[in-house]
Amino acid sequence: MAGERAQPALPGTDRVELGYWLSSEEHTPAALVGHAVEAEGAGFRHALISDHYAPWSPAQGESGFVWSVLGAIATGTRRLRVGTGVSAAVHRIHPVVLAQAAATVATLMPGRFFLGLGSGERLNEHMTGRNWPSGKERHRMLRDTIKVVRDLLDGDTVSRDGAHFRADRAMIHTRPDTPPPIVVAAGGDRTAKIAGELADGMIGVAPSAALVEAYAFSGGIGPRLAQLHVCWAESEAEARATAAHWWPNGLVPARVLGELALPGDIAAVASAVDDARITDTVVCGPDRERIVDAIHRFVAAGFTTVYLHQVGPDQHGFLELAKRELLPRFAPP
Amino acid sequence: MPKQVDTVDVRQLAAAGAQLVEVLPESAYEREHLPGAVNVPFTALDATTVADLDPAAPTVVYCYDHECDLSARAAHRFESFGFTDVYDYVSSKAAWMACGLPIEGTLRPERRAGGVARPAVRCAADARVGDVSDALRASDQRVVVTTDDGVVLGVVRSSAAGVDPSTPVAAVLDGSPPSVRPSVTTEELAESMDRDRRTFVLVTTPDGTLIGVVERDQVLGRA
Repeated sequence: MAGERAQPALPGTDRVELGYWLSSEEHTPAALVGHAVEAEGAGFRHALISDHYAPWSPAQGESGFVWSVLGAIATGTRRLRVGTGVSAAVHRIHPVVLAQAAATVATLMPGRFFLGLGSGERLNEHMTGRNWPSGKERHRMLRDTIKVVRDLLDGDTVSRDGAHFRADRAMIHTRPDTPPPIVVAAGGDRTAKIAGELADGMIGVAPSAALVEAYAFSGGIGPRLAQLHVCWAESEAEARATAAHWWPNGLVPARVLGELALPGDIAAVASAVDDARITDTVVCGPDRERIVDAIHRFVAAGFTTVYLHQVGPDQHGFLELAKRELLPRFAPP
Repeated sequence: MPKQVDTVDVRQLAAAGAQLVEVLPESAYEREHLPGAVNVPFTALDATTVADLDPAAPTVVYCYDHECDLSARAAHRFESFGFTDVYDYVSSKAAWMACGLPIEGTLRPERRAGGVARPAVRCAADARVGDVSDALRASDQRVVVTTDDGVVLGVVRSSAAGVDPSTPVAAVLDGSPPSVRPSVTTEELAESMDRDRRTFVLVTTPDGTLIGVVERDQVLGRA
């Protein structure tokens, strides 16, 4: 047990490793737990799970409460290290509750959980009926969230009367021996700076050396995690059709995607874009070398763990491919 | 008519014993000049101030850079004084320093990128990741991939240590790492690294040949 606690929750930085992405917006909670267990069995040591209130598109159809799913994953897996990819504390959840959730999961999977934080999307924050803050304001909120959550996870009693959050003698009573690490999603220079200054790692979605440099320049020495969308299928046509159906948000530019409130809005914007463009953001087809090449692009940019997100229902087929063809090529010594 | 020459020509002429004449003001000459060059400031240039030079010997005249017209004008004036073998080093001192060639003067070498650049771990373009994985782990940073002539093709970062050892380094290459010339001052370098959020820059000559690498900490201090 002590050895398990001593396990670092985050991947290392000395060589690239592969991880597996659990898409809460595409799969039921029970399926997600099954995928996590199967991924661990296939040889994955790292996973990220998305934290959504709503799916990106109506076709995806799911969005279970990630903290409940994590509780089940914690008991269903033994070695898999899991983080949220990513949680946000804009309106949907208060930082003091987010800290409690993270602390609880970390006690269920000692040394295997880390908290991924970001500045949020309107899709997952609008439902409380409050205004949608500007990007600049959300970046300030992200900074505040990191500080509040860190203090609480360290065992401090926290009171705040800030512009974004108020807290009154908040304290986490059930805490892990070691606070879970915090990583921050970086879409540009400003968030990379926040990650470098305040977090234990960075998550990116583009193979950008400039982003990794900005993180490192701001003091970041932790792992650089990446999300890579793939849609492996027996044929190219099947993969493209599956990706376009299940991941139409991949057709919507990120700067627009974060500003849309409803799955139907995102689907509407996506319908105005040629489906063929899905290959701009999702690696499609049966050719494993395309996936390897895409992983290499992240390696070239300096990312240290690449989490593979198989779009669509065929997680089993993809995990078989990963076990047979991908993980052996990125195996830890 | 003075002959226009480039840095390669000037190196050969200097090696063969040509007279090198810097026509910039004395203060600029004192700070940095080509090895063995004499100073005849353009404003003082006349038959008497060049009397100590041999009018029959090859004479290379230079100023600051290719935009500066002083070397061209001075070269013609040298001919008017009876010098018979005059060369205009058009790109002048800036090009010489950009190539990382030796320089003399009072400015400390460590005030320029070339003076602070450290040797970079490098490998050949046809190397495999397995060939450099030990170096990647040891350097904890990156390996610079170059041609046989030393021209930079890109960098491979330490995370590549995890990919299949038989993978060509070209597959995991960042082909556009930042680079500067050795003549850039460390103040300019610090400003640009701070502005562009760079943790390192390669120091290369104008033809892309690697001289070394400067880490952020060397010019900016630790974050």
